[in-house]
Amino acid sequence: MAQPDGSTWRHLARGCLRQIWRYRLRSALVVFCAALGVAGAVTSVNYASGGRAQVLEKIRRLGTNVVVINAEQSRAVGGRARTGQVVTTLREPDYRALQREIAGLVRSSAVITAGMRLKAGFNSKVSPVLGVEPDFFRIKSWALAEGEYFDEEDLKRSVRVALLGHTVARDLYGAESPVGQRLFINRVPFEVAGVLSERGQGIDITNEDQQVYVPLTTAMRRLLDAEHYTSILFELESSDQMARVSREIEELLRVRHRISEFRPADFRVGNQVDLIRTQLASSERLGFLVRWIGFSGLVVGGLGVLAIAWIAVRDRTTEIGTRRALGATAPDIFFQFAFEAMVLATAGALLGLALGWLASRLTAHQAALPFIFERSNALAALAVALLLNLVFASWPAWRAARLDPIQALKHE
Amino acid sequence: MIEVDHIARTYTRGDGTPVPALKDISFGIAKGEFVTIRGASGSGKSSLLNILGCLDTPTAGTYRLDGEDVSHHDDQRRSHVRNRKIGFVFQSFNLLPRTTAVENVEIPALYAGGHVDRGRALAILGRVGLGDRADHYVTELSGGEQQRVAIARALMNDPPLLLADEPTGNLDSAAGESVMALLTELHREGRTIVLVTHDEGVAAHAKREILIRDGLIASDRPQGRDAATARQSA
Repeated sequence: MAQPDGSTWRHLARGCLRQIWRYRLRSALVVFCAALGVAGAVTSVNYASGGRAQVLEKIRRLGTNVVVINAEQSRAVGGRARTGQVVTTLREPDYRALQREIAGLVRSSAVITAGMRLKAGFNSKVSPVLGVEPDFFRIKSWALAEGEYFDEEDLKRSVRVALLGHTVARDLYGAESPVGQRLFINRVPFEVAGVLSERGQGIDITNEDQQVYVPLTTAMRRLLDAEHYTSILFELESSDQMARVSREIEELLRVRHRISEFRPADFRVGNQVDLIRTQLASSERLGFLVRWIGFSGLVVGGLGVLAIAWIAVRDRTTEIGTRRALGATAPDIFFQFAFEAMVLATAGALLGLALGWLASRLTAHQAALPFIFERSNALAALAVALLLNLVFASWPAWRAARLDPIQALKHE
Repeated sequence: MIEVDHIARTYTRGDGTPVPALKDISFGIAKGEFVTIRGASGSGKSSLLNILGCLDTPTAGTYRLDGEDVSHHDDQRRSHVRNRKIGFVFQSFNLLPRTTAVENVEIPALYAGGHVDRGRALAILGRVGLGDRADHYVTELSGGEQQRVAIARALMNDPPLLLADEPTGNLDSAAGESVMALLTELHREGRTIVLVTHDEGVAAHAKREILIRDGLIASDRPQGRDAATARQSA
């Protein structure tokens, strides 16, 4: 028996394309199944990658070398939880002492926060207003969208200037540029110095885009008439010193506030590293889960290919019998059916890749996650899909090849 | 051309009981003969057809086709024998739908390996009187035309044996006549034709009739004009 030459293969391929067209609804279903599987896998994996990238981006933005001291009331006094009272024990002398005593601090900013009413023209809203020092924005590596930061000089003179978070600026001024405009904070007139770039939700849930930032002293003297801080941020030389610095801050403040180490403190020293670790771990778990979901998607897509190919074999039994009678060997029949299904499944997988790209974009946009399309993931999904489809297409083809020609010819 | 020597074919039922379909069949067919195998349904006619067509192997006895003992060939080798030595014509034509006439004719060449000769396929279609229908889809053809396409397909690999199973069974009498006329012509050109039928009228076109009953040969005698000549000389 001569080996099939180019002409025979061309004929088989052409025959295959004709069969695909002849059963176009079925072919479309195969393509659809294969495409959905791949698209689902690619999208879910990319979604998980997007989530992970977002956590990493938050870490990069915030820095892993930042310590935050939050004023916090004692958890319980006399056995009862106290809530709703502002803690005023974190004050300037504490701040100065910490700066003096603790080694390895690079930058710092005290912060005071309160919700206040903003008014610009006819627009009005209540937002958190933060009194901060100029270094606050450097610690946060937070760039301006427009305008200028305030500086030490503004702090010294308690100048009434404000920097707006992205959302606040949009809510109060719409499409107009707020820079240089008048803003009333609790009826005190301010001038908008600039608008900060968009950040999205921070790692600690607060949305920094919805806040207004004014010089620390302005907030304390002109808005709140307060002598305390809500929190203090320290940036360290390196994150290696995190544990030591946290411990020293804790000790120093306990001494200064005369709280023994056995009682709950009126402050909390936190660093973002723990929070980040938790988030990263949960995003890794999600990634693992999502990979499995993606894989199941591929399997389900493959099963669709299998089911349709199976039905095709049943419907085309007479054709198989005829071809066998005319001299097709079992391997010829196997090749024909496997090739047909593989052409469709491959077309479907490639289509699925395109769909997955599109869907990844859409979900990333919807979920406000960074758009990630990892080529290695996509290729892995494609490879797994093709392998699965090869198996799932081969099974019905194998069944077709195994049909008894006599029975197949009798089939109606 | 065909030597069938004490062939038996026994099927095994689900519960293990053997069912003999062919008990003991022996005959020979020479090159160029036109023979009908006639029998009622259940006579063993179909079993014999399957063995002659190399779709099945006998449980006992030997079957030599064109000098080759094919009684013990495996599936692969039988496929090759079918491809090169047997041209099948079916009752319901068995053309592939959504496929043109000429593409149907080419199918056996596809499985023969080597070059698929479209010119030859067109020439054979011309020979069966369908030269102008080559590019028609088979669904556009009448029943008689479809069966002639099927005959053209059977001739594609120039097989020594043409095996027709009730070729007129799905045709009206006029179309049936034209198909029988075509087969008779092919016989006159020297082809060996074995025709399986239950219809005496169809069987009358052949020169010899083998009658099968209960898995045995009931009679094997000349037919038609040859039979008349034989009777005259007797």
